[in-house]
Amino acid sequence: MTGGFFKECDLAMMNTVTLNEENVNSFHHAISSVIVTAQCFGLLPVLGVTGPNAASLRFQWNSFRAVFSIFILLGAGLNMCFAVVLMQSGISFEQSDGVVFFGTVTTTYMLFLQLAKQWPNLMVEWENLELSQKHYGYPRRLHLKIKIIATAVLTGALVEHALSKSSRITVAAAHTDNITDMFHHYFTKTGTYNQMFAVMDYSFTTATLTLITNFIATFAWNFTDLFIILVSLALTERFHLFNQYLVSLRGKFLPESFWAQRREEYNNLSHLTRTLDSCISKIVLVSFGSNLYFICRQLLNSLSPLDGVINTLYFCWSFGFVLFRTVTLSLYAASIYDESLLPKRVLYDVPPESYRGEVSRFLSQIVTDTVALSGMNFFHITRTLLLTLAGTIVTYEIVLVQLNSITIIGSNTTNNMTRKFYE
Amino acid sequence: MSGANNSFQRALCPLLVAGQCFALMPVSGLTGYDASTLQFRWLSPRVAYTFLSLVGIFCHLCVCVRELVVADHITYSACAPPIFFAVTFLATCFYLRLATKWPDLVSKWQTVEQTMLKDYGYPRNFERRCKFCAAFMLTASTVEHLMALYSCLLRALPRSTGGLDVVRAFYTSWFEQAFKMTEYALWKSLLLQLSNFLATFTWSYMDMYVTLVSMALTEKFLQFGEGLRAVRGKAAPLKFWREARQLYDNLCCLTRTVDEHISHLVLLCLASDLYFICLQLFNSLKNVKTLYGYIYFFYSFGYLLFRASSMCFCAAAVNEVSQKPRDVLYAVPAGTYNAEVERFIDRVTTDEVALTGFRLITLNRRLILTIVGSIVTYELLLVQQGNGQGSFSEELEYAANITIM
Repeated sequence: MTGGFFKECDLAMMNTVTLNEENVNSFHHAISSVIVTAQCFGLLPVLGVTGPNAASLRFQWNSFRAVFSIFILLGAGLNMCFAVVLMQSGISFEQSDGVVFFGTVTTTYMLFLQLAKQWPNLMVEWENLELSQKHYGYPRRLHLKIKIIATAVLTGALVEHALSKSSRITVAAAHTDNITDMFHHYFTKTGTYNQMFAVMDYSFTTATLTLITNFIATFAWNFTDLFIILVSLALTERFHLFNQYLVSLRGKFLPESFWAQRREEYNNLSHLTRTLDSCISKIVLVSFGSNLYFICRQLLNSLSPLDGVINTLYFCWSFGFVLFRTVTLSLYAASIYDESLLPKRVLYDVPPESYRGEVSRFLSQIVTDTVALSGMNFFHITRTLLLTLAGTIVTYEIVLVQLNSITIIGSNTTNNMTRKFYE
Repeated sequence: MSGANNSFQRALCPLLVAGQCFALMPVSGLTGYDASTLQFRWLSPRVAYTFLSLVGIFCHLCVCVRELVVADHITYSACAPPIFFAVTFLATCFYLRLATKWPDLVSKWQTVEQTMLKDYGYPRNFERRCKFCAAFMLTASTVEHLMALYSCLLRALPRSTGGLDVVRAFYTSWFEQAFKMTEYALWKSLLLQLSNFLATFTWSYMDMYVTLVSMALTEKFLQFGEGLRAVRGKAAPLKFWREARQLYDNLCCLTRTVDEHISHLVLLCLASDLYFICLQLFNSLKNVKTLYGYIYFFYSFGYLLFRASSMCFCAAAVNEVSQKPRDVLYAVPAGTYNAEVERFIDRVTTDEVALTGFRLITLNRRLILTIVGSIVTYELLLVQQGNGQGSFSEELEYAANITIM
């Protein structure tokens, strides 16, 4: 409680920090396992993730991870080009799925590369904050929470991927007699990998390549949301520690120097939020945009009747999963904004003898400053945004439904063509 | 004086001089270093040129409106030519009005520049950026106009009998509507072409102008912010904070002055961009027949999108950078927090510093999102309409050529 906090980090001391029970819940350690998983798929190629502290993080262009990341980025970009080529035969909503999916994935890889450059600095700032607020301790069981959420989201994604493959395979099996024909039909005609086989010939190697690319792309698509959720969770926990302490002193008479320290700590937290926002706001924007698109797309798909148990199961799961991801992401990110407003309640209760310069300054800062993640400053992620998003989806759905009924009357397309494209 | 070329007057000079070739901003003395060289006189050749241009555009407008009135039914695309000429007519009028107040505005700007000169200097590389923007806009507009001419030529060739008759066929097919009302004559067609070219240029000039003025404002705020960031977290004397607050006040006043002068231009710009983007998106849904048609369409649409988005983002940046001092102010240490800092924080947090569109809308990033949402909504509605009415490919091509020129 006394004001013995660091103003500048002591590098020598940092290097001797070892992993112990206390700081296994520090952000750097808690998120290391998730980042290592992501690095297997070429995302966030930073070196030194499993190091003892944030000072061991660094990014190099000529490291294996960075090269791997660039390689996958080029692959995704190539897929996007193929999908664009496929669209030349006529722009329709179904064809655009491929472009949007691979476009999103390509952009995601680019943005994570950019984030990798900024990651060491961001983590150093985060660690400095954690050290300067050491008297609050570390968030309880943060590493456990992170692991649970990561497992849940990635398992859901895996289930979805498996369901998609099996639903397509059943469709292909219904159309052909033997195994080789079935695979051939599956790859070239069921609408998932159209873009590759429109440009290249079918063969075992290209088919395997396509499968791998799709798997990696799906992971990247899901990981974006997961990453934002985990980062928001960690930041919210830090605000929560600060708020918990303030709430315990509600209504008490405290000296001005105490409030000065609390205000400075709050300011550090809000500065960290701003830094974090400047690093990940593009990723947030891409995530929201692609989720909005795919939710609308899935709702549109729901209008055509589905045959077969697997297909129905697949559709329900994938639509539910996208919805779940978007809602979870919005709620976790909005909780940063909500937590940042909580000190207000304590400050309003400060007894009049203490309400002087610092408390007044603290209160006006909380009231006027918006501490939240944003999508490139276009919007701030708050609970209101979720409502706005829902309203937007409903509006576009109504219009799309009308459009769809106009086009379907004039065409004889089967259900298979209006399937979700990107899996 | 080194770096004086980065002052507002000098940096914007290439763009304004280019505009004057097309009868916009008829102020004399643009190339001077000081605001006192600027002069506006009603009885000058530049103003006469502007009036001639106004007359020409007005003729085009009358012809288009007449065509619209006598048509059987009014479609979305058929409204495009009258709207195009109406927009450019209004823009030329606005620029004329702005020209009467330009010397005053630049001298106010120069006063603020002089106060910032000692500590902050001029913005770096601003002149180079302005030159690049002006050159880019001129080139892109010329290329677009030439492409439109070429597509018109392709349409005219089958109708001509060869030789010099190509010229007659070309003009009669381009200004079909005008030559229904009067007889064909070469001098008439040359005048019509000149005013058409002026209108096309004005249309793209508007966006670039707003972009550059917003950039100039943003640069001044950024300079101020840099100076402030140097003392983040450190103790600074009362005098420093008082001067910083006064400078911020001056910058806010300058923004308000600039806004008063150009807000109607900004609104006109936004509205016309919105309309033409929707029109172009609508056109894209019909099949384009030839390869050249494809190239022309994508080029003109891409250019329009680029202009509109650069204008929106640069104008929204003014609001963004005006909020940057907050970060430094919140971090002022407890020992040095005084009345001046408090006053400064109050100013930054409660006053909205931004460009507006005729005070109806505030240009910030939230607005851009709203605009994109509106465009998507209007597009979907238009597509439904289009599905209901069938195709008007011939009329659309004509309308596209007229409006995109």
